[in-house]
Amino acid sequence: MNNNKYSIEIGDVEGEVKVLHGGRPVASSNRVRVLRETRLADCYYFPSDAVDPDILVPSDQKTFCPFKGTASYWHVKTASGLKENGAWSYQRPLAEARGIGGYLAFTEEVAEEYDFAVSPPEVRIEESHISSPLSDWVLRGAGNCKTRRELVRMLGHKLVEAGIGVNRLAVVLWSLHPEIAGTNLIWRRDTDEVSLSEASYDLLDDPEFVNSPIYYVSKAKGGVRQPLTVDTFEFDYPIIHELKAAGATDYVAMPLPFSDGQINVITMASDNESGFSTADLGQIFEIVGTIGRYFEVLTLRKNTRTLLDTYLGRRTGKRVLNGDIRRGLGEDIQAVILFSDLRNSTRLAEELPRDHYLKMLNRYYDMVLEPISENGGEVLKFIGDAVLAVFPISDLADDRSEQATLALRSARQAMRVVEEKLEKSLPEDGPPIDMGIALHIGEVTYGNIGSHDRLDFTVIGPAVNLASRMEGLCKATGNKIILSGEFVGALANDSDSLPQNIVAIGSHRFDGIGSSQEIYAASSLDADFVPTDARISPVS
Amino acid sequence: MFQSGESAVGNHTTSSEDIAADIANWLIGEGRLFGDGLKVVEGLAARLVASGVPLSRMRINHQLANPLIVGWSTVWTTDGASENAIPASILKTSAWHGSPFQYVVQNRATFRRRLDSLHPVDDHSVLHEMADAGGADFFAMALSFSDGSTQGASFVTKDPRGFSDRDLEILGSLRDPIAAAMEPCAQRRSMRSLLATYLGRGPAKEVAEGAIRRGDLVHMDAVVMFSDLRGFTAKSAYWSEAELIEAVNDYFEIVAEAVHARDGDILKFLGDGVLSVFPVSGVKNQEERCTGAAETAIEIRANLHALNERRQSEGKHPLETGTGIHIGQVTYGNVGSRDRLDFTVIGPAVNLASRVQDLCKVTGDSVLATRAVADLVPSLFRSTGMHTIRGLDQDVETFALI
Repeated sequence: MNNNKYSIEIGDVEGEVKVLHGGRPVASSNRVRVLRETRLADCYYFPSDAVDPDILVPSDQKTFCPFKGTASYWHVKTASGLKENGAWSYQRPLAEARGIGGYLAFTEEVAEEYDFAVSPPEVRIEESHISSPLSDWVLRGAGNCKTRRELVRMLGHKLVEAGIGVNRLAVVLWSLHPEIAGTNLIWRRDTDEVSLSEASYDLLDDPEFVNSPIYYVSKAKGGVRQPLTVDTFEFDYPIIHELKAAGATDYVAMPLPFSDGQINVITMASDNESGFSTADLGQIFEIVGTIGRYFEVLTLRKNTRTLLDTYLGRRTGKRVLNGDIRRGLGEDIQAVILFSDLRNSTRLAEELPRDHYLKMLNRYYDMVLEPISENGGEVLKFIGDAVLAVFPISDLADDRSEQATLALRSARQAMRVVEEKLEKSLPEDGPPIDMGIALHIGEVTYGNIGSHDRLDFTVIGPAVNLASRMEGLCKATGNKIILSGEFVGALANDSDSLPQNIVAIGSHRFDGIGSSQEIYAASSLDADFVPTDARISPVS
Repeated sequence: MFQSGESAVGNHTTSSEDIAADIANWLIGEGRLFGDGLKVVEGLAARLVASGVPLSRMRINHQLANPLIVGWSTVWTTDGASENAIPASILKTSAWHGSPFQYVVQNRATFRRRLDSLHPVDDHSVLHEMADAGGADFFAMALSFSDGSTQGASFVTKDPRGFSDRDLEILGSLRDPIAAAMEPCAQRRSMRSLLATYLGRGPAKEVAEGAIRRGDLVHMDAVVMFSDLRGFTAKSAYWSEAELIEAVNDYFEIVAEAVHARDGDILKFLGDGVLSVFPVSGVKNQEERCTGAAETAIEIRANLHALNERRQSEGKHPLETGTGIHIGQVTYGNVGSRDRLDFTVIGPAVNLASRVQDLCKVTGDSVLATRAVADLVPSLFRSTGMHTIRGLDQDVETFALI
């Protein structure tokens, strides 16, 4: 055996060998072979005719070894009961293990004892840990990689440095993301670049994907090892043929498990004349176990970011990730506040069939949220079908009017889409869809409120209250977009004339808000706008 | 590479490198894949002891992203293993200051102290505790996580000869492998903690288990409860920002405590209001959940009363609360746009609970429920008559607590 290298040796055991269970023989033969694999105890293989077929019950389990191939399993009937997957055999082993093709081996549960007529060959067990620059890097250096892309690239380099002729390295990592099922990172030695592609959930049903080694491995069926210089392929996947056509001589795909049981996949193609050697595969197999930790940690970090972006919004998510996770006084900022709401929501929820209502609701959210985020706003909260969003104002000179303009634009865009698409999609005799949007500008406190361990990162303050009250005026006045005096002032950049298509509609005193407010209405269109006749009367 | 039947090599050598290497391999491979800090610590302790390290106690701490909890601690002794949260408040105490853990984490160094010759003052209380419990030697080291953060691990032996050089070599060489095994589960715990903080415990669990897409919904029965501070907007119009926030946070604290105590979830804060839900797990569970919600409302009211006494003594205005409770079919899960989601409850039942809560200010009751609830727990409620509800054709009968 070479030092520091993996190898397999197969030898013959002299004399009769019996497998005993509960003192009774399960199998016996004088043609037993012993398999010696680096770092493993000797394993005894029995010719199939040495085992009574009646005690074997075929099992579905299969496992994979890149040296030996795919093992099939049988349950074994013993005096003490059926031992699940108690015996296995490599029916069509790879070259390195041809000597035990069709031979059966038993688990410790079945083979409680071995009885050797002649003393077995001396047990020479290889000294444990195989260390190498590659495995050292994986154990220590790999932790310096800040992104998964970097990790894949460095791994490619280190594999090549170790003399393993990898010309293509791919890693498929499953995501925890509302739209992305998984990320595929591919490093190519010739360009030394890592391409990153994200697959949507549709991929999981795509026949091309189902007919791939990635699918096979991710479904816990074991690994794939296919030398490409042979005539027939056991693993006959299109991608493997493609790689062969591009000059690859060997291909292996292995599970990269995470600690939650999820099975990601790592694949390598070689262009060495003789493909991957046994020693190469040994090294690869060892580091795959170790490097999984870094992929897992980087993926978890990404998942956390994604979850916070998804449920809190990008700006807020970023603050939380940076440690802003305690209740406190928050930060006082200037912001445009946008409140949108569906009128008739109670009626809609009552009268529309449930699934129809949910579909409508989600479409409404799409139509409202997209313009807001496209124009730089941050959705802070969903309140039933109401949406609270803010456009924070920076210290830059014209940002006040800039944010007001963006906010009005997003309100108009949302209103147009809703009018066009949603309002028309409802049954004629059903309740109408009627959206109202209110815009205000002022100081808000942006931070964590809540209990000690249940937080909400949001905005509070009188300006927020006013915005939500204003929204209630939409129906009363028949106007769809309602603006406060301060908002219009910011929009107009304090000039005296009103911006286009905005009309004053009187003043109003809101419940619980001290002074009466000047209120304006805006049309959703940029064309000429005719205000409705309904005026607001001040609260008496 | 290991078949289910093949077994790993046993220890036939005694060099510390080989022992450490075997344990390291286990930690990085199998150990890490448990995804369970307790199993890692138990497995590690067993292997260390089997290899001759006279370990009697081991502790591994890691940081956690949580408003109240600063870290998570896993402890193994010869009596067994356990884990617990380390409250943030500990950072202000002498339990942390001057402790060996603080030393190793802040200095990224090792710390070693024989426990038979401790200085009464200069040596930290935790060392004295270990000595009193029979410990003879203490060793702590820093673990580096790949995000740059530093965690700590400590080891104690009761063997009067203490840790040998060989023992310390083995432990020291396991720094990175222990980090490798613990980091993924530490991160997962942190992620779940953040989710629970911002989504509520029930939703956090669903999301962590994969309910991450719009349309990941279940239809189920639930008790829906809306609570808020009655008349708050009007009253608070003249308060300072700080007073507003304090009042609202104090109220939320009361509501959250009461809801969580009965296994409910806080789904959302809305202005000065709270939307909570008590999922129902079957017909027999309905009554129990209604009782739980009613008791929650009662507790909120009582604790608010106590808060008001305190506020009065501080010259602050009292707060009043109104709660609406209903039980019915809801849709529970993700709504929103494709990449901006809300994990919440939707449906007519939710709207009704909200409207009933609105009625509190009309009827002057602090807790109102619907017939659906009152029918399940009749001993708690009495009718307060029919009321018109905005958006509904039929009037609704409301019930107040007896």
